[in-house]
Amino acid sequence: MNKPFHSRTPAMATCALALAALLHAPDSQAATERVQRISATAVCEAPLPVFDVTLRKRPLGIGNEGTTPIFVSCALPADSVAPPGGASVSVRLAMLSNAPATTVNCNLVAGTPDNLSYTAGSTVVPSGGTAWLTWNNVHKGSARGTLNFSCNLPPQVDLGTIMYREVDAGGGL
Amino acid sequence: MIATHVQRALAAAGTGLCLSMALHSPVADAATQRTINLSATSVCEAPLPVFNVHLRKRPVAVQNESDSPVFVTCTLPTDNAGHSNTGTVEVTFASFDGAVSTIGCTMVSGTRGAQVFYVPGEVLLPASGRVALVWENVNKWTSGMYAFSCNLPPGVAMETITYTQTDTGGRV
Repeated sequence: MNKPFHSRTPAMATCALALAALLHAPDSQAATERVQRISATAVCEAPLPVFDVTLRKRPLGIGNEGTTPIFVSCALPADSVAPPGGASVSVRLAMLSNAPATTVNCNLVAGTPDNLSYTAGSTVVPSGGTAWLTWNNVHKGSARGTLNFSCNLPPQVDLGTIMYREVDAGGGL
Repeated sequence: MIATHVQRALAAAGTGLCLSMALHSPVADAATQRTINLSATSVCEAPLPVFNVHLRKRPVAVQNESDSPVFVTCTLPTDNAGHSNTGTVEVTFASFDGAVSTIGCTMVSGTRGAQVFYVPGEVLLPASGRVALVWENVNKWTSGMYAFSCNLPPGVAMETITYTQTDTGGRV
């Protein structure tokens, strides 16, 4: 009546397998990507203090309150674990007033100082509105590479949220 | 004979256990909570350069060396995976001029263009002492971020900022 041991063996192994799998289930999205948001206020600067005079820094953005365009440079903390390629960087631009629509030109600068790549980007910010500028498939050159960009910020335009995404198929992020 | 079958069964179970552990080892960096400490110097600024003149930025603090209060704005890198309303932000202040000060701040969190929350906070800094201001259950809305501003009195330094993000899914 009782089943022989050799017929129970697979069942016991299966049971152990299921138990172990349950106890060691990996986190479903454990760190294969990391998306961070940060305000430009924390990571952006004018190249020289003289250009900073009319850049107002508020918690959620930097606005050009002057009458001439100002270059603003931004640098993002990059994770060494993320392999080069596959990153994306987005920046939110907003018109502070009802000034006419204007084009904002930016330049993504990624990599290490001895191996940089430049990718131009531009977007039109509508009067009284907002626009996002996104760079996809950003290649930072090496694990030590960084993600940076500069924008020529027109008057009455605000550089606000910066969102960037790093990926690592190995789940190390 | 029976002993042999038992041994086989145990061996098979053990093999299955080892195999499954190897195949399902958890990701080492996966976390349900992440706490980051940073100096105010790295993420804080005065609104305009004219207000920056008397803000001394040292490696571990931003301090107001003038004789009038200065607004300081700080923003924190915020993980998209963190839950929307479980964040904690703590800011430490220290007095370096021996005076008692009241420090007023405002947490500004959320998503610009969608929903932004303003939560004031106030703390009393004893003479030559140190105090922390804490916001708990900070609501960053959907995929928002944490930022705050403080009206930094004269003789006061803003030091370490500590913030915690959580995600029960283990993605932070």
